[in-house]
Amino acid sequence: MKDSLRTIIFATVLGVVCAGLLAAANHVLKPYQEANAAAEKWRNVFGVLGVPFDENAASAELLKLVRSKGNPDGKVSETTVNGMKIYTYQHPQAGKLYAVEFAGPGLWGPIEGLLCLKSDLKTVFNIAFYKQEETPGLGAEIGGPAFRGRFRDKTIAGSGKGGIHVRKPGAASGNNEVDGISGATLTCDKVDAMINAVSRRIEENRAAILKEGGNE
Amino acid sequence: MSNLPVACGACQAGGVCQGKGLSTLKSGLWANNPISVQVLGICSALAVTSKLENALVMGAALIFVTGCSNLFISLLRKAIPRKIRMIAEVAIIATFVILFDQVLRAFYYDMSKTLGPYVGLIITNCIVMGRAEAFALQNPPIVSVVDGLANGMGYAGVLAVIGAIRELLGYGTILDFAVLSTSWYVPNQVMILAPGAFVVLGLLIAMFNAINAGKGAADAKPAGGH
Repeated sequence: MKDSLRTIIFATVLGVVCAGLLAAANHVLKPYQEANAAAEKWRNVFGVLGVPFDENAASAELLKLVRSKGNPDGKVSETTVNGMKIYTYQHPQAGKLYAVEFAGPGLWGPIEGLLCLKSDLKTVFNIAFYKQEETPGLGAEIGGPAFRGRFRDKTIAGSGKGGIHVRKPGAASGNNEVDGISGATLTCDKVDAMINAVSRRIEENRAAILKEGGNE
Repeated sequence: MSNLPVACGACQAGGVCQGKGLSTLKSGLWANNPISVQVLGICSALAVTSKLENALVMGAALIFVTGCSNLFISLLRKAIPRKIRMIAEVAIIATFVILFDQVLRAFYYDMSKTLGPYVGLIITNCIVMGRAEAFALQNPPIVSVVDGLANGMGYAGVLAVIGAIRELLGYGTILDFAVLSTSWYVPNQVMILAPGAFVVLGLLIAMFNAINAGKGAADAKPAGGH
């Protein structure tokens, strides 16, 4: 009896001490971790919009730039249209760009990305899948430059169907179709679905987005 | 629960554990190296060694965790009730692992993303638990810390060697500095992938065995592992 009591007391004290230590560490480190996550988002946004920025800048510095509205050249703005997060930027060569956040289920986990369109809100400037847990070497290749490059200059509004279709490798024709990845049919189908969904929403809100973006 | 006479004679005799400390250090680093001799901790040794930098950070994590957990488990060795000793060990180990992971996330975000779940998986690393069970529970704190650090360094050393070989052959770089110019060297993709890790680790263990067999090292006990 005395023995079990000692065991219970020991376990309780150990548990409380360990938990307290971790809670304290979490409390101290949380601001840094949140800054990292926020800065990561801006790195993705700048990357897809082609905004020049120092890739090696520390998270805190990058955030300070963004908060002071002094993001690399002060021209990226963030708006929300009908629940869609949109980042606009005046690109020196490509003109006005709109980066729209999209998300959807992947094969193994959620996929999140940014679809970046030119000023006509139809032609693709760039695309990024910054969060994904697809099969390494197969589905995960959607994050690679080869697959992403296939979207460049395609159009999301063609032949009344809307969106860009990811076809069997080699089967893509026309400017609203791209080749998929061999061995990653399931991932490609999911990507197809989420790009079509975001394209449809962009079409529906076209006027509002152009207005919000201040298409001057 | 008392100290094993063989295990800590020198330590109690006085001094700063000269004899015992040194042999403990040597045992962890070489004669009983956790990876090449005991074949423990292989999972992470294969998974995070595609670049030297990753291997070094992972090694540092293990040195920190084995050192700290051995210290605290040794300090508590007479207080831990036998029935729940393993749970107590895991709680202590997990605390330090999560601490390291949190610091990494706050101050070394890119590395934290690269290492992904492997830092957290140190909790289940056989080396840490093994040293706690086999050493820290029977020995006083100072020599336990030496044992923890030695085993951590033994692990880190092997990881660094594998990481260096794989990065050199797979990317042609060491710590991201170009060593083999791509003008004449074609990076060998297989070294970055899992098979490359198996090949390098296998050759390394064979080399260790050959050297130890040559020396007729009596305290090298090859054992099956995880």
